[in-house]
Amino acid sequence: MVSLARTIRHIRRAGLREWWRQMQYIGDAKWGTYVGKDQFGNRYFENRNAEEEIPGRHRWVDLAQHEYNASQVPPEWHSWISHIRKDPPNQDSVMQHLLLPGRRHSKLTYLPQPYVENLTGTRGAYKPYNTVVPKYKEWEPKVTLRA
Amino acid sequence: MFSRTRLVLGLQPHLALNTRNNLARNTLVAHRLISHSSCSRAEHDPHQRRVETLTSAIGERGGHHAHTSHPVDAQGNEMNPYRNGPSALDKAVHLFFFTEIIRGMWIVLENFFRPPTPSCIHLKRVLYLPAFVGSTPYVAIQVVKSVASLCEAICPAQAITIESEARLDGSRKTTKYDIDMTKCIYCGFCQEACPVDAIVETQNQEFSVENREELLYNKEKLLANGDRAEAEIAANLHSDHVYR
Repeated sequence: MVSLARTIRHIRRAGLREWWRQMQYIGDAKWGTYVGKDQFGNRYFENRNAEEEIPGRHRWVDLAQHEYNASQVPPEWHSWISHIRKDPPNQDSVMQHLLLPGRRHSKLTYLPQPYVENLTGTRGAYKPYNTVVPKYKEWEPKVTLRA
Repeated sequence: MFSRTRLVLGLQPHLALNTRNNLARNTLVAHRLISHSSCSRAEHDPHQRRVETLTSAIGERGGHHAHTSHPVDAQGNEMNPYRNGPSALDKAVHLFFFTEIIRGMWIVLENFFRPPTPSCIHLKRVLYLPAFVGSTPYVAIQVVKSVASLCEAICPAQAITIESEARLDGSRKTTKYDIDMTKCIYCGFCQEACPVDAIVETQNQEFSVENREELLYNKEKLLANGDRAEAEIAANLHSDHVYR
């Protein structure tokens, strides 16, 4: 719950500049420990003090892009921010082990691809296509010559 | 008169004996029941030793002490359970000045000045378990034996379409593997049915698309979904491998 005391406390801790950015993008004065940054520049925070943050709002992301959406969070960080994994991927030993480049190439039969956000509405959007030869063909009208 | 008293006297000892017998039997039975029931020792302990129980600080924070069990001091005297709680005056003030209603209205008011919920959906807590089956299926192995197209057979919504062709060595190769995500009900039967773990459901939730046809996933799209979320899927499998 927003209280004036909490807002002022978080402004004093995070700074005016950070607070202004939060009010533009998150809509709340938040302050927490900086957990990490992903490959897109999104910053992740956590505040587990139940007096300062409602439990459930204690992990959040400051998305780097102006046109932000939830799919800009890569899957490694998604599993942290959705409380699937306890530790963030930069501290999670299992995740670190999987993210090692040598390990990935040796284990997988194909190369892992870089993460892209949901590109719907742009030219990069997925468009379904048939992966086999179609069983029936379109009718091709042929005009026979009149005798 | 005489005979009547005698009669009574003659009956009384028997009756008294009988009741005493009954009492003795009843107490015996009761004692046996008490001592054989599982939690009797703790309940009927005359010294009322306090067993350690799970406690949370929520009750103290809220200032409510009415529902906690009455604490007992060393002499066995019951202490006042409302000693640390709010006074009657405090409660009356909260009652008459509608403080709880005003607090509720304040929450409504502050939500007027917040951006609408979909834009701050990353703040919402969505609790996914690692075993959560509920999202974009991901076909991990490109070579799915067509004889084992069990996922297509078991799919209750009939969302999966598989076509395969024979290789030179006689094995089958899947050429077409389509999943209609508009039909999929995320039951996870395909994942359970697959004998080679070729299909895994992930936690990818990208169903906000402009066209409906973007939800008709073909083989390449499904494989790409898996490639992007490889680390998350593997970490989920790792955290669940004890129970599989």
